Amino acid sequence: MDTPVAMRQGTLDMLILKALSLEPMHGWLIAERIKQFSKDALDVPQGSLYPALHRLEGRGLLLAEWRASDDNRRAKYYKLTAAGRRDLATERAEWERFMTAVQLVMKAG
Amino acid sequence: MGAIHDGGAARDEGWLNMMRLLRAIWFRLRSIFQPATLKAEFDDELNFHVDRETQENIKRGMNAEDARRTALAQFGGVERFKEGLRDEHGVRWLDDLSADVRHGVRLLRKNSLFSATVVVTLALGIGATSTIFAIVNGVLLRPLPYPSADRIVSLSESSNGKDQTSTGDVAYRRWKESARSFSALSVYGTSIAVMTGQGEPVEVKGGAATADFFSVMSTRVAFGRTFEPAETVTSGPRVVILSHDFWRNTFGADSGVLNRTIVMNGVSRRVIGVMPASFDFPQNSQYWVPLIVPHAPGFEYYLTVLGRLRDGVTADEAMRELKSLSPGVDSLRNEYTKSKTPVVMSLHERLFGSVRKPLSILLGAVGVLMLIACANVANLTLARSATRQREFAVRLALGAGRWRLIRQLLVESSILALLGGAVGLTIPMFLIGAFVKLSPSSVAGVSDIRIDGTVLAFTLFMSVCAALLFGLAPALTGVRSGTSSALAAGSARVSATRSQRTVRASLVVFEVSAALILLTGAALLSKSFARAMAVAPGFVADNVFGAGIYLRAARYPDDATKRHFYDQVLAELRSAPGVEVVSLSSTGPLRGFQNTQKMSRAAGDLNKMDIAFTAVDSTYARAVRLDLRAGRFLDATDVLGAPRAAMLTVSAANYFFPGQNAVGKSLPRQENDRSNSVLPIVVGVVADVAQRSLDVKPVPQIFLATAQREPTADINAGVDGQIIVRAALNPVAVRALFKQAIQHADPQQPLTNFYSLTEDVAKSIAPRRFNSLLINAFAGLALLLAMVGLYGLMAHSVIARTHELGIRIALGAQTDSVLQLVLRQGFTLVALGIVVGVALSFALSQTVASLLYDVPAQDPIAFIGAPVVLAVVALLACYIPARRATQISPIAALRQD
Repeated sequence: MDTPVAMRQGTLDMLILKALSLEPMHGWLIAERIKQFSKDALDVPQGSLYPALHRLEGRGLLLAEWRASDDNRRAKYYKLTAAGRRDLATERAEWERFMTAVQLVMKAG
Repeated sequence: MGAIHDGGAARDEGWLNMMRLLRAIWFRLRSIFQPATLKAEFDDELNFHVDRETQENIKRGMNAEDARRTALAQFGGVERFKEGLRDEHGVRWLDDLSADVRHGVRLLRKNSLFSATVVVTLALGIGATSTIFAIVNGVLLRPLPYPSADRIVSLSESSNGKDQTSTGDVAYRRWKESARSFSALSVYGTSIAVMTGQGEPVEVKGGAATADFFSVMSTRVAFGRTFEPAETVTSGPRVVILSHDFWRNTFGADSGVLNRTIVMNGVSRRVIGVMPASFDFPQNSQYWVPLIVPHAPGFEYYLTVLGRLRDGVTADEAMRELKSLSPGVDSLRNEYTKSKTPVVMSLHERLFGSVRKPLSILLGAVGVLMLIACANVANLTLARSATRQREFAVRLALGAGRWRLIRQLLVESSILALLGGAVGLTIPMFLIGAFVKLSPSSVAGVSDIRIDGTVLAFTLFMSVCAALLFGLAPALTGVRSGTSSALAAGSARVSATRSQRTVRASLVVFEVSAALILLTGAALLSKSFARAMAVAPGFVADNVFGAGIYLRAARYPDDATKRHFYDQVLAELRSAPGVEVVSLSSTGPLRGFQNTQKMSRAAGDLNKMDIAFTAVDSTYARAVRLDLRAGRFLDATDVLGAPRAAMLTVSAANYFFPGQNAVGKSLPRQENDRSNSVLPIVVGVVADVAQRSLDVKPVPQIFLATAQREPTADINAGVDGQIIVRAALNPVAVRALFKQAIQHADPQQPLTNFYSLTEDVAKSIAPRRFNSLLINAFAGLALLLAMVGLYGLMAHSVIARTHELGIRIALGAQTDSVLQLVLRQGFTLVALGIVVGVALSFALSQTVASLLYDVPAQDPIAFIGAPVVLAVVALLACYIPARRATQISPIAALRQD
């Protein structure tokens, strides 16, 4: 396993939104999903995951609700709001533009 | 198609943003409203995660203990995690703030004397300011409740620079015909009607207006219609518009009221409309009838004219246009009525202009009081911050941020100011009630005075301003100077810095001069009030009651029928027990005057004077106890056939017969009097009788005997007027007597305008009493605050100089010289304050001139008296600390360090 890639705050926000675009889930599962999708390359630090979730909730991009988890415990589930979905789309587009640009530069000459 | 789609998207967008905003607000608010739940949720979320991670770790093969420890370690410290969440919820600044508030409250409670002084001082300042602001807000600031009310103007004419507040019908007709500045021009007036046909006759107030009146006011009927031009001419259809209230109360809000007929003053009128509930002009109108602009050749009627300015036209431009029409108006007028100047002012100014001046002055006065209060509190906090310098120095040295310290100080001053504001709000609650009671009911808008959102916002604003004003300066000087020097000083006491002492001394000089301005103003107004109170009204008001009765032409077409009615009423009143004198006159004391004429001393003399005429019966003089100065009263011998008699007031006698005895002389014939009638002979002179108010100089007045009046066909010149009785009874009993006597004489006639002369006298000077009372209260408070400030400064200075004074005493300084030393210091400040205060008072005195009665604006007594009073009180405020200085024990003083 490679050393996990360090993550910036904006990137983490985008990844959280992306993970939640599949289905509503609680914090632990979000970290797990990101880890899975990235084939263990991205390890979300817990110390920043939850503040990020609360920040996104505060910005109205996520909606939180308490409900029973699959192992029947009370867990805080997050789901995307319509605003969150739109924000994800914008961020993804921007990210792709940025990536393409960076790749163009890196492959140049 | 596309447009519809776009519209939908835009709506979705708006909706989304709205939802987002609401969620975001709730997210922040939870930290304030549900702190405990929020905290529990943080814990639950954390625990759930840790448990889940622990399970995973166990699956990976760890033992339970290791699994949990590893899971927790991932968080890098549980408390830091929670701190992170709290930051996201914006809880931190709240925590800091509440810590500051707790610290502040603790400190302020520890210094409860200081805190109480500050709160009380601010409460007085803020309370007084809010009271006057509430009045200003209710009376002056709120716009009139009509659409674009600022376009409504009141038109009048002025003669010799004096606004007559009315317009001659000749000028009105000309303006209406030619003026282009107005989109509508109308005449209105007040009206009183006796409504019959529904039980007991009732008198109701209403308005009379020309057809354009409703366009001028830009107000439509609630239903029905307004007047048509055909209804505002003589012998046009008799119609009436009802007020919403009247329609509701009398017709039970029956929508079928249109075209019903009601009997007003014996005339049937058809209801054509109902106004909306919000429309109340002229004030308290229950109905509106068409006003027919009167016209009589060689005679001018005075009209109240309102106009609506056309868009883009200013009042000044309209006035200029009307002036350009003046030559045409003058060509239609005679030598007595010509050469008047048109006046155009906003309706708001017309209605409230007279109270603007006194209210502005009161507002200025409370503003000064508020500044004194702030100066005083700033002084107190400065003194306190001098003793707190070590605390600041230590906190700075330990790494506290400067901003944090300033915030701490501002939080402290805000707590005090808000407390002061809250306590201060109780003052307007009491005073506004008193104002409404004391103010003359004629002042429109009085009922609108209340503590509303605007007043609350103003009070809050004042509190915040006060907090900044008295909190910031000490905060800045305290934190700036509180560096190493304070620590290095190391002594138990840290004396104030030189700059702080200068600031404090200047504040006291300011307080003294500001208090002196208010004291001088109070002296001027009090003297005016005393002068007005001391005016001999020319009558004795005790036990005098009256009622103004107006008999309608429709029911009482001639003198004989009126005479019959009055004879019956007067006879019944005369026979009632307790009634001493009964009389009938055209007007009474403080009832104004209905009939004035411009008269000259001799034919051809162009210097004319307004003279008021009053017709009285033989008992009038005894009923109101006129003050006889020469000759005799008009009495029962002055009847038709006897020589025509006149009774003059002193000012009338002095006008017609300056320096001579008027009695026995006949009144000069006026040049417009072409008759050969015998001129009245003066039989008596009485003291001037107050006509409007005790503090308005009466117009020269001539009393004639009603019994000598030639019978006339003119129904308007009847014997209508005042029934006045002198009776040693209470007002309720007299009122009942009046009501009964009128009922017996005519069941259709209501009792109207009943009054007690004693109450009217009090009412006539109520505004002056109120102004004088308030300004005295403000001045008293200002003096008290300034003296507390002076005392505080002196006491503090004596403590700071203990060491020096101790040495002086040890070296043999006498008690007197120590006393002098301290007093001189205090009095230098007081003298400076007095010099500045007198100069400012002089500069400001002209602004109160219009409020004064019989007192010059630079009255020497006020200008010498106020500083003397201030100096005496100041001497006392300095003497107490000075006295203490002489009692300093040199040994204790020297040992102190």
